[in-house]
Amino acid sequence: MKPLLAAHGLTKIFRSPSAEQSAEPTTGPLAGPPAGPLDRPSDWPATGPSAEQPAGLPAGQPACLEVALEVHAGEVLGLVGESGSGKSTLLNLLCGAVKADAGQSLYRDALGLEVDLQNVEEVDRRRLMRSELGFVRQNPRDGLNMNVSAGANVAERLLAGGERRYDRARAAAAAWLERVEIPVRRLDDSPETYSGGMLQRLQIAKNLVAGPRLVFLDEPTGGLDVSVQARLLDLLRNLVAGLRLAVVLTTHDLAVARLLSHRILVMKGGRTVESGLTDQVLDDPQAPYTQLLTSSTLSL
Amino acid sequence: MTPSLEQARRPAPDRSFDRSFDPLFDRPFDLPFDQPRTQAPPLGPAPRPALASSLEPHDGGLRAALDALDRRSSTTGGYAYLDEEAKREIRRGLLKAVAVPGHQTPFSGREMPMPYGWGTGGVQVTASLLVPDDALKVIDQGADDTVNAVSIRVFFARTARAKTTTRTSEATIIQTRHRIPETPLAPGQIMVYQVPLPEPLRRLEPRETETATLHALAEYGLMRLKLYEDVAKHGDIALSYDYPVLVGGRYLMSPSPIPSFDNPKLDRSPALHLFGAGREKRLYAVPPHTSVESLDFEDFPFKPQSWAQVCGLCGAADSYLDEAVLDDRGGRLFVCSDSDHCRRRRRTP
Amino acid sequence: MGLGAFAAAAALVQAAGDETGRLESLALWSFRRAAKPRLGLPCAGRQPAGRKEKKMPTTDPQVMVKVCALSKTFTLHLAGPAVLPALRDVSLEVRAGECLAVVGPSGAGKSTLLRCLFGNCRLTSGEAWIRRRGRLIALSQASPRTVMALRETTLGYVSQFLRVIPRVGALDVAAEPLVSLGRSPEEARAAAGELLERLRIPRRLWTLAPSTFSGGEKQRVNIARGLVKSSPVLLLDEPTASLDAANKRTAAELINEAKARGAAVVGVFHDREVRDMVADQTLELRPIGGGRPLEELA
Repeated sequence: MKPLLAAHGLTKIFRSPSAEQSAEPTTGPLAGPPAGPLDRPSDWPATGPSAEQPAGLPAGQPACLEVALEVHAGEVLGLVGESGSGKSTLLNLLCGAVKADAGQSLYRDALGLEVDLQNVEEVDRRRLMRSELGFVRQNPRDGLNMNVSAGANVAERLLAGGERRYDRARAAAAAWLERVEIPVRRLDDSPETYSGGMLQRLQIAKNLVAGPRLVFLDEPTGGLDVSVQARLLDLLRNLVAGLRLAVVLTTHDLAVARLLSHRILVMKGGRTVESGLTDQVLDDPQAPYTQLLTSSTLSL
Repeated sequence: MTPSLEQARRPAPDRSFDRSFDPLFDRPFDLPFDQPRTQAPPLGPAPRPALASSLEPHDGGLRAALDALDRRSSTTGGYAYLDEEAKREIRRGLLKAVAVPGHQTPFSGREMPMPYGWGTGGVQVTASLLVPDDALKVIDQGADDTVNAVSIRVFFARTARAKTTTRTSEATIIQTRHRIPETPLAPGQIMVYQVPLPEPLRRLEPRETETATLHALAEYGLMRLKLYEDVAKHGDIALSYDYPVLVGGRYLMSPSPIPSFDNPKLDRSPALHLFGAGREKRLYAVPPHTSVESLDFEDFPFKPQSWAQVCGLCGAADSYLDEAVLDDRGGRLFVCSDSDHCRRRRRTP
Repeated sequence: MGLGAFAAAAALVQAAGDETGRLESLALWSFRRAAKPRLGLPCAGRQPAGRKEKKMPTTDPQVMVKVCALSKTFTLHLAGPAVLPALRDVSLEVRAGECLAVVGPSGAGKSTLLRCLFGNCRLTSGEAWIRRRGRLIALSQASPRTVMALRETTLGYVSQFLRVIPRVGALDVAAEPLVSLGRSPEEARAAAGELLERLRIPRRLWTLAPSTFSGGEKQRVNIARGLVKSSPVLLLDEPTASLDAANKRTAAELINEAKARGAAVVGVFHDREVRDMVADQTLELRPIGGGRPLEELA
């Protein structure tokens, strides 16, 4: 079966003006701590084709280097890494919101046509983002319109997609609020009155109302309290199972990855360190960095 | 695009028949710019300029509009307050606006002898179009005798010695603030609107970069959101003036703060409608016979205003009524907002 | 002998030259006639990396699980790095309807072997095959999607410790494998409920999350979850460790029922009684003596 989303060689370098002077002092009072066993890039055996920065690219901070991945329908892919590993950048590269320096992100749309989200016209990309794709941002305020009511937020994609009846749009919005366990009487309230967890669930409802086939989740549980996080994770598990969604999910929490994703990609410094089945990568980590991650997590 | 030295030496080709070309580029270098042509061009219906023939997909509405604009490029030497370069630039902007109905075109507005918010956009558009055989009507909220209407009419009477009229049927150019006359417009008439805020999405999206992108991508979900919000909050769409419209099925336009009662008059109107915003420096246009549909929901369709009363002076039941306070005991009278329409109805019982 | 026959036939074909079509089919026909159902190729130890296995390791269609010279070594990069060999050159074969008991002292690698068969551990060398819909799938070359498909249709796993999904009731925990297969929730809950009843989990516990259950109760929920799908291959890691006598017998009954319907079972049973009730063959594993740091090996 062909993958829903296939990315090849995605690379993004953030150019820094002082790229030439980026060498940090290694001796003297300004030097940082001495390099430990996993601080040198050569210590992380990368599964990608190159361990060094490929030639021909401008100097700068590599955010993503030659990342390749595949997502099939009904599958959850988790991108796991610590801060600065490039997972959020990779998510933006996959949906085409940020232009890559190299590589393509091929999405197979509802008609079976392959679209390169990196190279497609902005009109078409926006249309796809409204109808077949979804992007749930880490901070729900970035993904919601705080000036209109919650119901309007959820109905927005339907209205933009051609819905001309108010009652149908409203009914769909109410149904989705119920599905994400927000009381329907809050349909007309402003999102300013919502708590953090409710905002995130509202954002999920807004993204799912148009029936997308692939959803990008950027740290969906970041910054939430544990009980709120638990409720959100349960919701996501049920939605993914019930709707047969394909999901690409970013998280720094291994427990979230284990709970939600079927396969994971471990990232460090923009490179893919290891990838495979979630339980296999987390129970039998091969790469040194993955072993570092799994040994660092606390468990009750 | 400067002419080469060789081109300058050669005698300028005779372009007097083709007024869509800018005479600026036909002049040899030694003549200063504000000197009149050697040959006075004939007034009257002009032969078709080359520009219009390439715009075949539009119907005769565009051609009529281009004709109307084209005929008016014959004035010289500061007629109607503005210098010829300014008027030429505005007419070029109007050509572009007419070619893309509903799309806002920027223009370099001049300082006018009235402050922003008093009709500078409309005045600049009228000034750039006025020719000696035009008949100008100026209305403010439908009436010819309010202060603003009188001031602008006197302004053009002085600077252009224009023939002015209060009769809609006799006017060739009608400059209006916030109303369309009740009398149906005829082909060849030009409506000039004074627009305070040309961008219909401004209150929903304050960033100009974003609204420009939304217009380019035809993404008007934001406006439909606003309508949804209105129905959710008030039970019906709560816009009574400056009701957003979709022009030619493509661009979202603000028809200036005319009451929604007047929106149907724009749809497939035989006249040319030009909109000028002086403070924002934007022009936009609706050519004749262009579709203009007001946004609504299927189950909450667009309803223009209606009154239970009729006009107290002429008895009209289908015109826009103003409420006039007669005394301090609560006496009210509903009268037609369009004073010319009311007067005509009273004269012919 | 079959090998020799094939070689001879191949030599015949080459000698004959151009009439490859007819002679090749003749050679294969003679090979097929000569071959008897047998255990297949002898396990030759380490396979060269990247070489696709063209020949099937066995021609016996009853063999559901086959392992050939499997080795598993854990490399802990953070501790030195330290190298821990867990399995070395393990071979086994399980047919449909059979149960293989893996025995050995603690630390011998029994759980590791089951995890390798489930796809939870990567194989360092050697190969393991699981039969899915008539075809043998090689685990070391299987993509993650293939392993997921294997787990969905073929493999059932009862782990030693129930990994609790929080806030999900015991009935839903046991029913979840069927729901992800596509059955309706009611059907899945009914099947899971039958198993839970047989394993004597009281109904009042069905809606409670198993995190507060006793060890034995958790283990029984685990068994129900592993057996609810009626998988053709079952991997059981100490399923009866914390159970009392009655429940042990029930578990053994369930395993025998699975065998009766054609499942191949590989299990770790510490309990002699249960082992006697279910096992047909035994594989003994011994712990591999001490690991050496990686530098010394090089």
